[in-house]
Amino acid sequence: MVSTDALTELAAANGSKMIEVFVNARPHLVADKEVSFEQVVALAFPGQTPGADTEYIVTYTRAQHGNESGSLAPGQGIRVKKGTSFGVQTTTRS
Amino acid sequence: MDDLTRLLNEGYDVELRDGYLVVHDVPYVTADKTVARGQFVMPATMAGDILTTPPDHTTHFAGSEPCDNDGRRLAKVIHGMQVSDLLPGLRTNFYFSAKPPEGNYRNYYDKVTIYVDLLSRWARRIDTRATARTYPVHEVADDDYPFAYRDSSSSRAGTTSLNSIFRGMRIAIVGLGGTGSHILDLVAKSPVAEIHLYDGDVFINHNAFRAPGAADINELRAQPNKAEHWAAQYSRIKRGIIAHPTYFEVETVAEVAGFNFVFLALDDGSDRQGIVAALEAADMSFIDVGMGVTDTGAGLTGMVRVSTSTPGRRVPIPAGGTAPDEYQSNIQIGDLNALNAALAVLQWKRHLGFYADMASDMPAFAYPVSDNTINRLSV
Repeated sequence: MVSTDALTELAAANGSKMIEVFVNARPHLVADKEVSFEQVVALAFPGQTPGADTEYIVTYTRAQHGNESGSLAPGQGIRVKKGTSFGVQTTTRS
Repeated sequence: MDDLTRLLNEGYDVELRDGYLVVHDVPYVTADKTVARGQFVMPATMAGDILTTPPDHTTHFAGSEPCDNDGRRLAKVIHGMQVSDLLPGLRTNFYFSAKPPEGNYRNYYDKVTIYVDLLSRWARRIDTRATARTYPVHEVADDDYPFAYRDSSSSRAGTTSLNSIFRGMRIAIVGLGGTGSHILDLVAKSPVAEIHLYDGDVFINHNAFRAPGAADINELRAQPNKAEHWAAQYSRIKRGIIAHPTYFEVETVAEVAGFNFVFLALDDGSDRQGIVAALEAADMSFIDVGMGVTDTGAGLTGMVRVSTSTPGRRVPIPAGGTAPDEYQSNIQIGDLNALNAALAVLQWKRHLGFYADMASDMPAFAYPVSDNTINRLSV
């Protein structure tokens, strides 16, 4: 796993106010306070195009006050803070 | 709790037979100072199927003359030798009369336990392990009984009346993979009438590592159909399990129309959306389960999902779609299968009122493994 400290230092060095969040237990830096369903899916599977008819489930925990935990539907977003954690999966196996 | 249930729960080998209460396997001491086993036979006074108050303080006894640990006959217990054939194949040899100070026993529990102790306390002097509480396991002869043997777990816990919720129910489990087999493991221990299992696949090695129990290597070598394999396994405890060794298709929904509940534990490759649409059109109540697991590089994470769809409240069921192979992970872990199954069965029982429910309605939720929380899904 990439060191989160290293990422945060990198962001600080660039002078940007990046926010550290987690997607499927991996750290990512996002520029916006609001993160969308589509962004989270893209972060989970970087550099790859998700199947258009594949339905991902996106959950979040430790989001901004008032949105502690829940889920995102396509097109929805959530205000994040440092440490907000997302889960992304296709939940179709048994 | 009625006296018969209480005696059974405490391990006494008692049965009701043709109007008599029979107590088996009672240790006593014979004249030659050895421990033998005898039986009490006493008239059973019933109110419906419940034992009430014994008509008197006497009982018949099948065995030789009971003695103390020195071989002296129990004169205070034995009224006399009396051969009786009250029940076919069970000849009694003695008639006992041990009268309690109050004249009669208050109930059958007291009568049985006191008579047992009057004999067995001498047997314990010779063999300290001698007990009438043998916790016997008998096949249940009643064809209407939902289990192959008595459900002493519910009676010991006092939840037998709550179990009436399940009586007569017909349930289908579609898909007998890791999650479906765990669903069966739990549903088979509730007294539903019928459990129909649908799966066209064969049960092979890797299935055994995600399933409940421990498969025998010879079972694996035979490559049984999953539905037939699990029906055979769980018929050991549950009656009314019916195997359908075929894949569940949209057309199969007609077979389960009128069932009380359907558990969908499908895998990618099945027509989940078509089946869901057909179940909705047939006004069925069902739960769809599913999971996904990925490797973070520093441990696995994943998600298990439970979606409860009833005629009054439908929820969207996600499809696997055609994501490219690199998105698809075939990782599945037995404990996540078991958790997914347990959460699904728990929601079913909540829906039935078996569990008290103080929570707001959760039509669909997911458990993201690395976050260790239950997250409500927007519907």
